[in-house]
Amino acid sequence: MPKQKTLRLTTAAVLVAFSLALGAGSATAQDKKIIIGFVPENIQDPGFRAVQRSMIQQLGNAGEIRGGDAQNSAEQQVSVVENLLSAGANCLIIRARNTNTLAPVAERAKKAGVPVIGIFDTFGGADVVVGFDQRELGYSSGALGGRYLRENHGGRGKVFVLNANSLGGTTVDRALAIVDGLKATAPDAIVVANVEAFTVEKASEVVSAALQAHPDVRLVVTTNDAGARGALAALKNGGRAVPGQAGVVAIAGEGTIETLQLIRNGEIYGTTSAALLEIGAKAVEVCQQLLAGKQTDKRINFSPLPVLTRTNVGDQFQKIENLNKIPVR
Amino acid sequence: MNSPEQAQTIKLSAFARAALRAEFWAKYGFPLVFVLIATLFAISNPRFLTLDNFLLILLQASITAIAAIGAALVFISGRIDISQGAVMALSAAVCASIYTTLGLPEAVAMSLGIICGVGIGFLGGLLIEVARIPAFIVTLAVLFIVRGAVLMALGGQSVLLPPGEASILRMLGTGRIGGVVPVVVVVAVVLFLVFEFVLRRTTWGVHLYAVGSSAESAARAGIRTLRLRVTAYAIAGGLSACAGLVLLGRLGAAPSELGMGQEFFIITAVVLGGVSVYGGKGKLWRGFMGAVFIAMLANGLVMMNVSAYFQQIAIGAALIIALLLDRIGAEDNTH
Repeated sequence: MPKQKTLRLTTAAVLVAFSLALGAGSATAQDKKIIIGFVPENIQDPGFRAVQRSMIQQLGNAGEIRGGDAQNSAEQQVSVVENLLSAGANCLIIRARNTNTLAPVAERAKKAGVPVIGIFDTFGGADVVVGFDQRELGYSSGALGGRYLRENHGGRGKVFVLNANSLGGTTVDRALAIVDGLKATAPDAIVVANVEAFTVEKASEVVSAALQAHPDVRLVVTTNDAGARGALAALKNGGRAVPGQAGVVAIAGEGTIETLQLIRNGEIYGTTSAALLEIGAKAVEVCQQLLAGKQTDKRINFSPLPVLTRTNVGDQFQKIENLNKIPVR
Repeated sequence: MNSPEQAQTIKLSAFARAALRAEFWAKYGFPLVFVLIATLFAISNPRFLTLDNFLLILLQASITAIAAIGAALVFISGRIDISQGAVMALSAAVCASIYTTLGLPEAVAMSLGIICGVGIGFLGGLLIEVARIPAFIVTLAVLFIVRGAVLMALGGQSVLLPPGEASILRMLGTGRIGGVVPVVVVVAVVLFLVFEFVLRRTTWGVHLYAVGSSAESAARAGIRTLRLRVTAYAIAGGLSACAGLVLLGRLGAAPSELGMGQEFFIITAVVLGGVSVYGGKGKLWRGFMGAVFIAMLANGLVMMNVSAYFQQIAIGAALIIALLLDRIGAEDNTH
């Protein structure tokens, strides 16, 4: 009998803890004016957390930002968007996991009078897109990589490129532009691997494998900062990540304190900014304008996109440190 | 003779005693948790109790529920399957590709998608029952192989349904009867009723429970355990394929990563609903309630403005609670 009693007590304890945690983790919205739903493809990504914080900062006391986690799943993103609509969201800001699958739910949002803002990239059904030119972003990053090669290896060397082509849309353009930018600044560079990897684990795995075939690689250009951190880990494990041996260039690393720290230390050569903080704030501003019945441009692009290296990363580091003090839900 | 006051006390004590018994919690624990949490959500946000929101929860639950029927059949037979998400992706990719590139009629493309799912389930079942490879290993391998095949075939991209076409799929995924009731909910309910009938009223169903309870005893009684289990896997594959087609209609596209991680929600729904992980026990309608519970949880947590980070914890905790309740029931049965 003691085993049964233990089981029952354990179940009861878990139930009570669950209910308490549920209550503690919640917040009512009755005193807020605007509810803006923010649904990136993966809200756990530090870059998207930085975007969310900049949104919270921009919105202030005028409303609340409700984050939804699509967990890198297109159908999960659709469900989260539907739930936010049902919860009374006044506006939606979405970074589409798949640019083709949001059209039906965006249509429902339109019918309910809820504006839908796309960030970084457009998708079917978005009212306004706030982002950047993917080609400019990729080209700038490739050019930064070329600069590294010129400074350290006479403009020559083998290069790995990590892309995120499965996300579709103009993300493919970004990867192509990386190569164009690289070739424009270091024509003698040779791209020996152009593979998909945009998480830390995948990038580490892919670069480790590529190092077996090309242990003399000089540069890894990644499509995001998570890829850069994974690539760096693989290079370190392979004994390559010593300044002057092999460098790493990131994209959109300006929102992640770890990436900025690595740039400051000289372990990552630099990052092209994807205007994360500016895009987050602008998207909220556009939401407020649309809700007030004002017209805006259908496409708002941030350009030029600044480049951060060891020499100028200090200010951004401070900015992100301060921003990280804003709690996100 | 007892006074009325004494009788009342005895009556209350009897109820209290019943509530403390393990079988009470094994039987009523999940419904009680369901009602408790639904009440919590309703109090936190009045929007939770609207008809629109209720239908939304049912719609989202139905996709999981359709695949959960198949998972439940496999569990009842005493086995496990974790390949549902991969089969969903395969069926959606096959159907969409055949429809758009070969130009075959939609019904044919859909049928071929379902046949692929049935085939995968059948092959997996054969490997498990004939080659005697553990079910977890086989279905895990199937998951990797099928996922890889879909990624390779689609090049990591999506297959789009042409705008304005594929009316059956779009109706399945987004259509509403009378502009109110989602078509997929009706489909899910019909499937549940059909398979509930099959499990309770047919020889096949009774034998499935027997095999799940004790395959050795069932075999000695002359029941064809191999055939039963392989059939269960084939049906599960077909139902996962159906869920994949619903998602195709809902999204208007077949992304290569479709159904990623769905296995967890499907198995959680099945176990929450009371289908035992030990086999031989469980009712399908409760699996449907399990799927509704998960959808309700995701919906209600957004209503309550609970952190997106906590939502995964909540769903994992719900699975633990369900397993504990299941364990209590199993312990009670052994005493």
